[in-house]
Amino acid sequence: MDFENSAPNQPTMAEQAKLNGSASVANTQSVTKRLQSELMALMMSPTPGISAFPDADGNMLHWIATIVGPNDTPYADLNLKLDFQFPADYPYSPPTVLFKTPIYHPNIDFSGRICLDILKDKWVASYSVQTVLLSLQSLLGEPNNASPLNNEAAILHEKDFEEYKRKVLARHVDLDD
Amino acid sequence: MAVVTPPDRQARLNMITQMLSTDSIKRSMRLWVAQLGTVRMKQIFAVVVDKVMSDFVAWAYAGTYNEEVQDHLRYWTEHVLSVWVSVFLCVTDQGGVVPAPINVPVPGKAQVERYKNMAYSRLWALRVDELFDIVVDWDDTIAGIDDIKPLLTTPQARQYVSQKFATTLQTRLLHPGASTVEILQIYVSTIRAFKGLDPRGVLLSKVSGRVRQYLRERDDTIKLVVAGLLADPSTIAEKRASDQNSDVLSELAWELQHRDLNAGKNVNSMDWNNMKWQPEPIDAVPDQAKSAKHMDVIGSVISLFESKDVFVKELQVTLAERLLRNKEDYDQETSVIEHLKIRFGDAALQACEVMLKDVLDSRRLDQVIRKDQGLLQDHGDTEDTQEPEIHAKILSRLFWPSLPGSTPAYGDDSEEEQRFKPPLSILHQRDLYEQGFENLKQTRKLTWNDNLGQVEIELSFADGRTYHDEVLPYQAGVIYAFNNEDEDSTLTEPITRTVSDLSTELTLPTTLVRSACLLFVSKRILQPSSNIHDAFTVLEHLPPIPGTLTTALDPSTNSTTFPTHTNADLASSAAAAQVAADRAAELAAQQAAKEAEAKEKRAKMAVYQQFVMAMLTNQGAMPLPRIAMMLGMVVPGGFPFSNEELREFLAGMVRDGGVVMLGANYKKA
Repeated sequence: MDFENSAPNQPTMAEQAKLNGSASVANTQSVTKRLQSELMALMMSPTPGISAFPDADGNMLHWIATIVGPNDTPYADLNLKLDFQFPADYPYSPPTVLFKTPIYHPNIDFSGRICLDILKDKWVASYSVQTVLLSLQSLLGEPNNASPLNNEAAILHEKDFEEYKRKVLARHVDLDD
Repeated sequence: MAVVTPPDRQARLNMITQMLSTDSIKRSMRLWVAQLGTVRMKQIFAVVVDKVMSDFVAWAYAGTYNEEVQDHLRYWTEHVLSVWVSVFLCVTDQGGVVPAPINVPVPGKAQVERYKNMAYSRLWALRVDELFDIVVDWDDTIAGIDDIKPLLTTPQARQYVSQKFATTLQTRLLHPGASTVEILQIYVSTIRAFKGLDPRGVLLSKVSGRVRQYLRERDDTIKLVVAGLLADPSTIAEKRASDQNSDVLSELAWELQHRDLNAGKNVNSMDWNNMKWQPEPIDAVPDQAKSAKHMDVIGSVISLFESKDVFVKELQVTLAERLLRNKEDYDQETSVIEHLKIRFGDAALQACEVMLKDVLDSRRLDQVIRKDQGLLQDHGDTEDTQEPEIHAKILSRLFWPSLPGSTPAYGDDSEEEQRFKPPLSILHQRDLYEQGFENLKQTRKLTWNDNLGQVEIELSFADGRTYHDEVLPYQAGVIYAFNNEDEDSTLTEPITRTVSDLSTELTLPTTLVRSACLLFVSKRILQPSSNIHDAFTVLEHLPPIPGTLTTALDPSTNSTTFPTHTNADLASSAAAAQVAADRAAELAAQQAAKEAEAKEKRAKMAVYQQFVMAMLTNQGAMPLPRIAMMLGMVVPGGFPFSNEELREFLAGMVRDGGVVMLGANYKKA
C-alpha cells in the first residue's frame, strides 16, 4: 500500500477515541480547504468537456460534475452528469463517484456505479476531481472489457459495435430537460 | 490642584460665623426656623448639601485628571463641607441663632466618613460619565481610572459602567462619521484603559464586542492594522507631541515591540499549585478564559479578522510594497516579522520570511552578477555616459503576492498592453544581467517585471539646468523618449512627441503616458506643444518670465495678453500654474490607477465567469439571487459584487452567447 493513502501521524485507537470530537471538526476544515483549492484550480484552467461544481445547498463535500462525451465515441456530445461525495478524510480516501445520467457502458452498472481502479485501490492523494473526470472521460472511449460490470455491454462492444452504439443512445436521457 | 495644609478649624469656624453674622442673614435664619420648624429645615438642608456636593465635584474635577483629585476631595469634605454642615445644624438647633465659634460641636468621625463616601461616589459617577473622554485622551487621563476603580466592587456598579460605556461608544464612535483610524485608536485606548480598570478583562469583553463587530464591517481596517504594525514606532512620540490624528496607528508597532508576551497568558484554572487563584468575577461570561486574551492589544486587534490567513495575506501585500522600495536597510521590517513570528509561529509567516530573504539575497547577488558581467561601473566617471545602470531585486514568485503588472496566473490577452517596453539600452543590460543570473543559478530563470521598481533620472537641459529625481519605470521610459542623442542639443529644436506616438513606442496606455508627461510638466521639464494637439515639448530653456508658464496649462490663455503684469502678479500666477499642473498630473495618475483597477476587475470577472458557467452546467438553470448566493459561498475570499453588478455581468454573458435567459432563470446556452 502506498504511503500517500494513509493520513500522516495516524493516532492510535485510544487517542482517536479521545480526540474524536475536535479532530473531526479540524478534518472537515482541511477537506473543505482542499476542495476549495481544487475548485479554484478547475476555474483557473478550465478543461473543455469536463466541469464540476459544489452542489446547490453549498455543501463543499458534495459536488456535481458534467462530462461531455468525447467526439469519436458513441457518447459524442452527450451530457453526462456525475455525483461526487467526498469522505471526511479526503484526499486520503477516494471520493464516491456515481453516474447520475443513465449510461450504457461495460464498466458502469445500471445504478451508475463505476468500476475504475483509481477510484478504488489505486487512489492516490495527489489525484483530484479533475484527474478523476479526465480518467472517466477516457474510460468512455476505451472501456476495460476484461472486468465488466455490464457484461452485455462488454460483449457488444467487442462483437457488435453498431448495436452497442444504438443501446448507448437508447439508454441516454438528458437530465437537464 | 495642590493640597493645602488644613488651616485651623477654629479659624474656619470664625470665618463662617462671621459670614453668617450680617443682619439680613440672621433675620431670615430666625424667620425660617420659626416658620418651618427644625425638622423640616434639616430636611431642606440635606437636599441642598446633596446638590452642593454634586455641583462642587462636577465643577472642580470635570476634565481634571491627576492623583491629587482624591486627596483634594477628602480635604474638601473633611475641612470645608463638614464644618459648614456642623455650623448649620447648630444654627438650626438653636432656633436660628448663629452660635459662637467655640460652641459649634465637632462632627463625629463616622459622620465625616459618611460625607467622604458620598463625595467619592459623586466623583465616581462623574468619572463614569466621562469614561469615554478618559479613553479618548488616554495616557494623560490615567488617574481618572483610579477614581473609578475603588468603587467598582459590586456587580451593579460593574454593569452600570459597562452599559454606560457601551452606549456612549455607540452614539459617539460607531457611526459613519468616525474614521477607521480613529475607531481603532480608541479601541486600543479602551483596551489599555480597561486593563487598568479591571485586570481580569470581564468589563472589556462586555464593551468591546460592538466595536469589534463594527470594525469588522469596515473594509480598510485590515490595511490600517497592517500599516500600523509596520509603522515606525519612533514616530509615536512626535505624534503625541504634535497632538494630531495621524493616519498611521504607530501605537500598534510600539505595542508589538514592547509587549511582554507572558503577561497576556491567562491564569490557568487547572493549575492546582497557583495559590493566588481567584474565581472569575460574578458577572463574567462563561467562556471568560477565552475573552481574557482580548486584554492584549495586538492579539485583540489581530483577532478581529476571522482567520490568520486574511491577515497574513494583507501583511504580505504591504510588506511587498515596502520591500520593493529603494531602501538602505530593512531592519524594521525584519524586526516586525520576527515579533509577529513569536505570536503566529514560523509556519504562518514563512512567505514573509522568504520575501525578506529574497530582498537581502538579491543585494548580494546583484553585486556578484554585475561584477561577472562587467556591468560594474565606477560611480566617479559615469556622469557623462548615457548608459544607465541597473540593479535588480530577485523575487521568488511563488512567495510574493501578485504584484501589479506581473503576469497573471490566468491567461487574458488584454493584459498584453500592460507590459511596458523599456528603452533598448536597458533591454541590452537586462540581457547581460539575465545571463549572469543564469550562470549563477543554473536551474532558474529570470523573468523581468518592467512595471515595478524605481528609476533615478538625471536630466540636463540646454540652459544648463539639471534635474534629479526618482520616478517610476514608465515615467522614466517616457522621459527617456525625449532624450536628445545629439551632443549639440543647443542647436537643434527641442524635441516634441505626441502622446499616441509614445504610447505605441513604449506599449503603454495613453492615459499613463499622459499622466507621466503631466508629471514632468509640473516639474517644468516638459510643456504641452503649442501647435500639435496632445503633444509635449522639452522645455530646454526656462521661460524668461514665470508668467509664460500659464500657457503650459491653458493653451487658450496667451501670456502676452498680460503685458502689464507686475512681478508679484507673475510670480503668483506661476505658482498657481504650478499648483494646477500638479493637480492635472495627479488627476491623470488617478485616472491611470482607475484604469488599472478596472482591468484587474475584468480579469477577476473572467474567473467569476468560469464559476458561473460551471455552476450553470452542473446545477442547471438558476435565478440571479441563487447565483449570487452560490458565488458568495464558493469564491475564495467572498464575492465582492452586489446583485446589481452581477446582473450586469450576467447580461454581458448573455450578450456573448454563453448564457441564455429563461424567464427569471439563467441557463447555459
